[in-house]
Amino acid sequence: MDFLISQNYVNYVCQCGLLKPLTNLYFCRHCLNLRCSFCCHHEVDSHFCRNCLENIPSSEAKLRKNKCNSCFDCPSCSFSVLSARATTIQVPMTVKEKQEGEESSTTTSEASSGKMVAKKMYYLACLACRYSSRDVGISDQASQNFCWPEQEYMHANRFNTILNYYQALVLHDKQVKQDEKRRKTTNKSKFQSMTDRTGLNVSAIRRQMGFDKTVSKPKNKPASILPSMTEEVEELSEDIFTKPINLKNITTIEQRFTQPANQPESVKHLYPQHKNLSIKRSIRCRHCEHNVIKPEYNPTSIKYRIQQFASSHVPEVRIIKCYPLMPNKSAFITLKLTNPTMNDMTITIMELPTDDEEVMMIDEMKKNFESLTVSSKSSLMRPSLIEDPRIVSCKPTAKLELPDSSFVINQRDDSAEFDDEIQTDKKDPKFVIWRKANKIAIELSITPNDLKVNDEVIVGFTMHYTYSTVPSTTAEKKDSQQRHALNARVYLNVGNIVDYSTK
Amino acid sequence: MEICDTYYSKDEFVETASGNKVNRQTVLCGSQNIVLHGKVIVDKGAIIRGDLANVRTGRYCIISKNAVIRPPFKQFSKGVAFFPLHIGDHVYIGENSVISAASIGSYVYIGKNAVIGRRCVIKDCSIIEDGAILPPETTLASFMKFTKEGKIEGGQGTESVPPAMLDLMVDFTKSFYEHFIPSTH
Amino acid sequence: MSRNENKVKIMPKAIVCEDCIIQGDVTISSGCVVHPSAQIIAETGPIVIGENCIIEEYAKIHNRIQPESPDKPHILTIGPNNIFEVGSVIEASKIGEKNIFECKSFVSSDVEVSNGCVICAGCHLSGGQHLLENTVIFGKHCQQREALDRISGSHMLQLDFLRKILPNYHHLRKAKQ
Repeated sequence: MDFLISQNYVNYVCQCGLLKPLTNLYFCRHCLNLRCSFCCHHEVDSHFCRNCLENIPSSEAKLRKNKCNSCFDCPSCSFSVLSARATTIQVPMTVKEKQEGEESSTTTSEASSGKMVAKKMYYLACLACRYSSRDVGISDQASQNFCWPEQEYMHANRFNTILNYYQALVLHDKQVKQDEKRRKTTNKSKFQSMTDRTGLNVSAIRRQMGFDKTVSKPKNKPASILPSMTEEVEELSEDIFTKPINLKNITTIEQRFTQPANQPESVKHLYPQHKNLSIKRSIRCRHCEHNVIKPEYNPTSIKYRIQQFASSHVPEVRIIKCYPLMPNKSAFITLKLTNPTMNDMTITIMELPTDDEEVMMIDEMKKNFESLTVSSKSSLMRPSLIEDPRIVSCKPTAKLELPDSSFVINQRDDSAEFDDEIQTDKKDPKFVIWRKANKIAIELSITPNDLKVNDEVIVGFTMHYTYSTVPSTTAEKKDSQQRHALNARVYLNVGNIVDYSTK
Repeated sequence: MEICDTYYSKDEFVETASGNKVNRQTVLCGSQNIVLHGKVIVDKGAIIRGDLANVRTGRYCIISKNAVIRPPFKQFSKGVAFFPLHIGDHVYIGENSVISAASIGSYVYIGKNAVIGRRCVIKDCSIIEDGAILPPETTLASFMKFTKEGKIEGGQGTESVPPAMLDLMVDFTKSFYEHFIPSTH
Repeated sequence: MSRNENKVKIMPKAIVCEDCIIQGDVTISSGCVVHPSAQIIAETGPIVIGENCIIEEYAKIHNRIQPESPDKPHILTIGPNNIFEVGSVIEASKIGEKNIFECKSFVSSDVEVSNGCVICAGCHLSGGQHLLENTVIFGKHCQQREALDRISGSHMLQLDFLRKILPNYHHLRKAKQ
């Protein structure tokens, strides 16, 4: 819940060594490790327009240059969408009538069903900055969909020739390379065909034929294109330094960059821009190649087909309160731990690994992984794609007094939500303050190091917890309910050192 | 961070049978047109303009201090019509925000001092940052975040909106409601 | 305060909801609609609001310009057909006609607003200046542009609607001169 108050107080260490709040972490059920968006594969699932929420197939998206056909961004303020507005106007229009027409203007989406279609004309308008397509001289259109004139940009031809040239060049290079390969391999295959007369002969002939084909093809390099003309640059006019400029007519850098092809200098050339498409993505664990997240294709759906959020597998730690912190003086913090799984969890709070231990852990992880990649050759993954684990950058600045025993958190039970009473189990160790369904509150003592006033106090611990896998398929059922002992390293930002002189 | 207890004086709030807690110093115009679906908190100084059109909120909504919920209007050639405003479940609306959206989905977080322009459509599981200003007729898709700078960022699987936004907002609004307790206790 | 209250002049056909805060010498011309919880505070001098203005919830029109001499206070005159949206704070020295002050906009006391201007939502305008006609202030950095084409149209239809609806739901202040 930290993100809602825009600061992270409790961070977990991802397998790759980054610190992230639990809400941004995933839990790979197959590797039983925490993963974050940094150390996972991101895959584009589907394209959609975030304005009209229409799903666009990826082939079509490519064709449309990842832009929506029907939605336009305002070129002037760039953060709002242009909406089509309708005017009902009589045909030969004088300036006066135009104004009257506007006064009866309405937006279209519903109004378009009206009967006055013949008289309705549409234009695009921004409701934030009052930009309208009339400002740049785009005439009103009879239909609101798809028929807005496309903007021409001056370098289009040049880009096309360059593109064609390089495409031809790539093709040519490929051919040359293939030919060389063939030339090298033909000798070898001829030799083989002498020894083995069965299938190889045919392939040799085929290859020979293919070779012949390539010979017949011209291997000329594509005609090189002319470098872009270095025309005479016009001299700056004298009055550029003296003429007062009207800032209202000059575009801002941001406005220019929203139209990279043209980069207009004057607001008179700000044309409506097609809206960029958004994507839905699935996230895949790089180690085992299982998805940790796979959303539904439907752009409006918020459901997942696969969801492995860390917050539904790993016990969540929250700070309830913390007493004023002073250097070298112990203070109590109260933490709340929640068990999100359907099985009871036994939790032991332990010391963080030392630097050397951490290095060892990382080495071991690397080794494990290497052996894994060697053993599974069918795997598509390349080791280079896997993020090397790193040492956690955050160093605790306070000492935590570890509780002397482990404790159990009950399983999650949705019906228990309506129980109000707080149970206190006599068997619980002393540091447990209360428990309530799948939640438990514990009180620990911390002693900040020798810090200055307002320094951040950070404590960390390794949370050792038991995790039971739930069988998802029938094949897995044989060894159902496997119990694992897992570790999660948690760093808490418990607050700043208070100025005790004022107290 | 666990949500702190918020104490209120029993004299200041009215609690309905369905668990809505409404401050006496709110302006609920046209209360017959306002439906709060239970366990909704409406804090001091909030204005809900039920007189302009129907306003409906789902369960576990939090409408903070001085927020204004105002159904949007649309101008036609023959007149003006105000449209009903629907808010989903588990929605948080921050202090001093102005909401003129056509609809707000569920599990939406709206920060303080935000302005949501006329006829915006806010889909489920989205975030509007503190001080963000949505121009009229903006659509904010699911798992998107509208920032203070006026940019839309995020999408499923990025870190601007947590992937488990649904669970998070359910948890947040529920515990906010549970920690919103009368001070006499 | 009660003396001040008496100075409030509401012209006939203006709709002023009862639970708004109006202090000092304020004149509200006919055809205006003042929503509940709006604030009009004439602190240092009178405020005169022209015809057919809409003042929405939590909008605050505040005249706090220190007069040059005590017997000649600065009069904040607001022309006809302006809209002050929710939460806007207006301290301008003079306002023309057909302007729109969107939600949470702010105009400081040294600004003079002419006609047909739009201050977009959340824009803050301060520092001595005179806004030319049809200026639009928009965006995070309060950019300016000139609207060539007024799309906002007339808000008369909205006024008609509000005049019909508001008396059904609100107690209104009586017109007095």
